[in-house]
Amino acid sequence: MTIAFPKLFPSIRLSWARRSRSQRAVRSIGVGIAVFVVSTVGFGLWAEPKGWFRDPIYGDKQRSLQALIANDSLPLVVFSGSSRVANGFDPARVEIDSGHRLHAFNLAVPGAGPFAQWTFLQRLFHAKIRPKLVLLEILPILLEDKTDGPRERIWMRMNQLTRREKQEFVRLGWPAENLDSNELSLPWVDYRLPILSRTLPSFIPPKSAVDWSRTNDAHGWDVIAEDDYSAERTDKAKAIARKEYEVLLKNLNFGGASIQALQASIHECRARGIEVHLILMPESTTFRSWYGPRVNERLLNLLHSLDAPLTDAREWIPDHEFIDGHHLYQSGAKRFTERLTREVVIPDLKEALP
Amino acid sequence: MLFATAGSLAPTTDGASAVLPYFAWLGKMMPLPFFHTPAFLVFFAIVAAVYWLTPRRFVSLRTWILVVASFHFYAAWSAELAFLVTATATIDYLLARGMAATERQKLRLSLMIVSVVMNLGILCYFKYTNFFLESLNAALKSAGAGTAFETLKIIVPFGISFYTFEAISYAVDVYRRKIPAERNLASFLLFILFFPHLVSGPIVRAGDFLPQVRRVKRWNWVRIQVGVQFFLMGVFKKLAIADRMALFCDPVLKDPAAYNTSATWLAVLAYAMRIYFDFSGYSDMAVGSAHLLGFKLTQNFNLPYLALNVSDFWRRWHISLSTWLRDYLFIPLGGSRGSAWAINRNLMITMILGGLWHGATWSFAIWGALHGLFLVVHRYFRAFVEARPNWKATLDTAGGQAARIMLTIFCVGLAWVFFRKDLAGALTIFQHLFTWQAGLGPPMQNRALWIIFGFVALCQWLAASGAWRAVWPRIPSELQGLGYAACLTVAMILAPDQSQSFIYFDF
Repeated sequence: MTIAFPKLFPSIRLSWARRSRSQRAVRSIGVGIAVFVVSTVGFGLWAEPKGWFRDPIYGDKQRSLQALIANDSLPLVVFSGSSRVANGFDPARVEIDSGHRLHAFNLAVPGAGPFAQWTFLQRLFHAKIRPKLVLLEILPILLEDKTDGPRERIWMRMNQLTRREKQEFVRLGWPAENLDSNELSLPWVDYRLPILSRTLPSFIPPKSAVDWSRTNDAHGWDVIAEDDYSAERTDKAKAIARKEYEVLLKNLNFGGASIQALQASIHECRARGIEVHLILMPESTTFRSWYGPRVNERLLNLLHSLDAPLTDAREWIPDHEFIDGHHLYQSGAKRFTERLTREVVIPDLKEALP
Repeated sequence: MLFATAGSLAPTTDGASAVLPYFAWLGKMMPLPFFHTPAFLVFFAIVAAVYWLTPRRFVSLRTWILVVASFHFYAAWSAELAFLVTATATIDYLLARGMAATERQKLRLSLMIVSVVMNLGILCYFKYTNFFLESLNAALKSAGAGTAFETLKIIVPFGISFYTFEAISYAVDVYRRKIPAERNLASFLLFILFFPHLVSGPIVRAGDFLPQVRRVKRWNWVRIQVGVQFFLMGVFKKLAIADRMALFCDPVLKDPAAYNTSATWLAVLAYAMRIYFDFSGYSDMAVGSAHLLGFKLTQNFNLPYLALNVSDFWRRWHISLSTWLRDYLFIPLGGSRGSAWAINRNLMITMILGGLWHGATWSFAIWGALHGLFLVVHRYFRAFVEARPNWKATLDTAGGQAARIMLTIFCVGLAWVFFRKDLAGALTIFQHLFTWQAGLGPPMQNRALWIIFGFVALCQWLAASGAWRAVWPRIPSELQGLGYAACLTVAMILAPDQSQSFIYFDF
């Protein structure tokens, strides 16, 4: 049989054999493509509106804030800014120092400037969180646009934004061509860091992890105790700060989309009846000496022209309470928060406090 | 790039690329000849569509399509060097035709020598000129001479080591009458330029490849599936394993003095995995791409880290290179014939030259010499064991085999320390491996390394035991498809922020 059959119908037999294997091959490739496409599109659609997943650093903060306020109606103070605020503002102290029943929360995220602040406010409002007072940090270097757009772009991961947020960025003057990188954008690629940070944190280098806000306290404060930094580490941090800021601060030219974003945040708060206050965070003597002769004047002129009160806290803290000249240790954060509560929070919340 | 940018390979933008706007545009479209980039996937999709839509009776037209596509693949990186490769390949073609046209042995020999010298000359100029100049300068300096030769600014063409070896083997095989000289220029150009193997191998033999060019190719779904499987496996190996291992080893290899002993040992382990999965991943992608166009390339790896000894390792590692070195260097030197001294000498010469083939630095020569030494020692040990049946029986038990595998990995892994350009760095690593040194710990959590190591060990066992080969074809095709999608998805998720260049692109 095995000898005769191929001789009689060799082509038919081969054809059958091939067709069977071919069909299997077609099916497996087809299923593979279909599953990949469907799972990619489905995952993208699922992740797009989920801020806590798409942007976990902010998402974790918002979750903590929601847990903190837990549907009560106490006045809420939110401080939005960069890592300076993240380290330097101890919200729990506001609640203690003010002597009033209120909530305070540190919404700062490293590298956050006017665009991130505007985005975070939009997300808060979308989540129906209405602060009574919004403190906005002014990080001077982020008020200058580079030739290819706001400097904030360096720290901002574009895939943490929704399409709508990106459209708003363009409306505020962010160059559209710089919103999306030229890389092929697939949700599995875009969201790989959030996925790995949540599932296999040991698989990513610490600097790429997006779980920073998980180590913040319940009020969003990223506390840095004096013991955390050795002398060697402090020297290294100071050298980095000098490298990053000394030249930049010599000749800053403010303007462009970043200012528009800042104005939009102020306007948005005003429109909703929310008090808003601009804060220049503390800096060490050395750090302050890096500002060019006219930069300070230009900065203050600009900030005073905006529709929000300004508190210049740059000289509030003694040098030894800084890690690197602009990030505060725990002791510095307590000192800063205490004065901020006294001079800004209580006066601004005067009418809202019970 | 699909998964961010790879930094080290800058395309040339001067010369023809800048003069001819077309090539400049091409360079922008596909700046790096990496298989796992969207630019390559688009390029490949266009080439495959045009190729398969061309009626199969036009074999020659299909061949030219692939030649033109391959030329563009290379020209996107450097038009000048693409022209150079094409020109030298054409000369090789003509020289071989000359050999075929005459029966005069001396003339045939002369033509073969011209071809070999031309290819070696190009290889030496591009790859070894600065190595010689730097070595000469170092020698002059140590002799007290004040003057030094200036090194040249030479861009080493991608894949030069691979296609010059292919051209040399072709000339030698035609001279030896092992294969006939190819009559069709397009077929020969495709043999040299075929883009899946052009820049990093496998090193193909004319005797294997040219008959495939002549054969009429039909669309075959089974073959397409094989190609897809290889390609996906390559993508997974590269992105999920090799690039991830780079996160463990690269910081340590870059600044070995800063890390402590345990971090250095882990980095050596990670580097051994990275090299294997980087190159075998690339090879799989090359083999897969070729299958998708109806060609079968040589398999380059066969579970090398399960080798029982270093000799076995070289039968499993970079097979296309090791067989080339065996056939065109080791055997012509005398091979395993002659006295023990002659055999050992042949082994050492072959391996040192093999080391230098990878890179023009002394560290690669040391790497080759170490492997030569391992092979020599293994020859004596094998003779010693064969005379003692009890020893042999013990070494053939499961425990004995496991110990042999571990010892082989240990030797090969230590030798990999020299598989880099920086000799001083390699020596620092050795110092940190064998003397207790304080310093920074591993750049990443060890847990990830051990998880990947365990996964790799499991996969190797499945492949070596035959379980995978037995089970995979029986899996329902829908599940296979699911596996493909999962493989690609996991590779994308595990791809690090900065995808690394392929290590073997430097060779």
